[in-house]
Amino acid sequence: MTQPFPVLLVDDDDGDIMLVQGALEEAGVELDLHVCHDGAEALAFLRQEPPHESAPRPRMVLMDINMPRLNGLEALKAIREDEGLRGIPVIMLTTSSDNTDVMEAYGTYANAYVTKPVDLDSFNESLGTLARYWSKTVVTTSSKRD
Amino acid sequence: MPDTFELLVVDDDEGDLLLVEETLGDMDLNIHTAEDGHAALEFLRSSDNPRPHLVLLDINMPRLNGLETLKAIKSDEDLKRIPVCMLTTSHDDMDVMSAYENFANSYVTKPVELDNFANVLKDLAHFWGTSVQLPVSP
Repeated sequence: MTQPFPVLLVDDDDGDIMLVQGALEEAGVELDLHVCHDGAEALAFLRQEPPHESAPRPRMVLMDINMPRLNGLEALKAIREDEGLRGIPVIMLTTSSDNTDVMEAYGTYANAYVTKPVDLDSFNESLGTLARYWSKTVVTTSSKRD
Repeated sequence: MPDTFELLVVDDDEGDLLLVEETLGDMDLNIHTAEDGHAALEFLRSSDNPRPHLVLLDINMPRLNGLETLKAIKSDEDLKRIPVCMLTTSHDDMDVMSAYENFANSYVTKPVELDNFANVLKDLAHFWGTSVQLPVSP
């Protein structure tokens, strides 16, 4: 029996969200995927603020960078400064390959930085590798919030 | 993947070091080793050595253990961006929690069975070597 593996995908682009869902399906990795559309909504989800009272604690967050309201790097910083959230793995998943963004993300303790390949096959392969590694090879904390 | 992927493996068990070297030997990696946390920090802080693209860090080691070493790396302005993956036999929830809260980039347990251990290492090298964009220090 496989345990559900809750993942929070944070992306403002509906096309990109569908691409990620498609790639995970293609890879045959079953994840319990939740979606937020910007950093502010993601923080509300992680903190179980209304209307996210019954949100599960994700085993990992896939975080876009360029988003309205609160961008991915700002949301990452807020997560790392929050005692209750800081242990949640956050993987940046973005089209930006700008080394300034990469340096800032690792400097703010992103767990990994993955750029979205433009080509669909490469995109699917990259997402498949990511999903398999984090859901099967890596141990993450399943601890509930107290 | 960078031209040459520099990997630092920190483990006090020579058998485990050997296994890593054998398993990843046919990938295009430069593997460096350190036998404990002190040796690892010494390696990382010496300008004679290449900056590793990834550190694999055991937990239970003499002198300076893996969690202490992790804290030292992640609170060092110059070193904190280097991805550190814990690679340990410990399944203890406290170790897992403590590792992530001290900003380990991932936590992987060593399977007892040799074939499984090799597969885990290959998965790990595949993810960090091909999918991930790594920081480039100016």
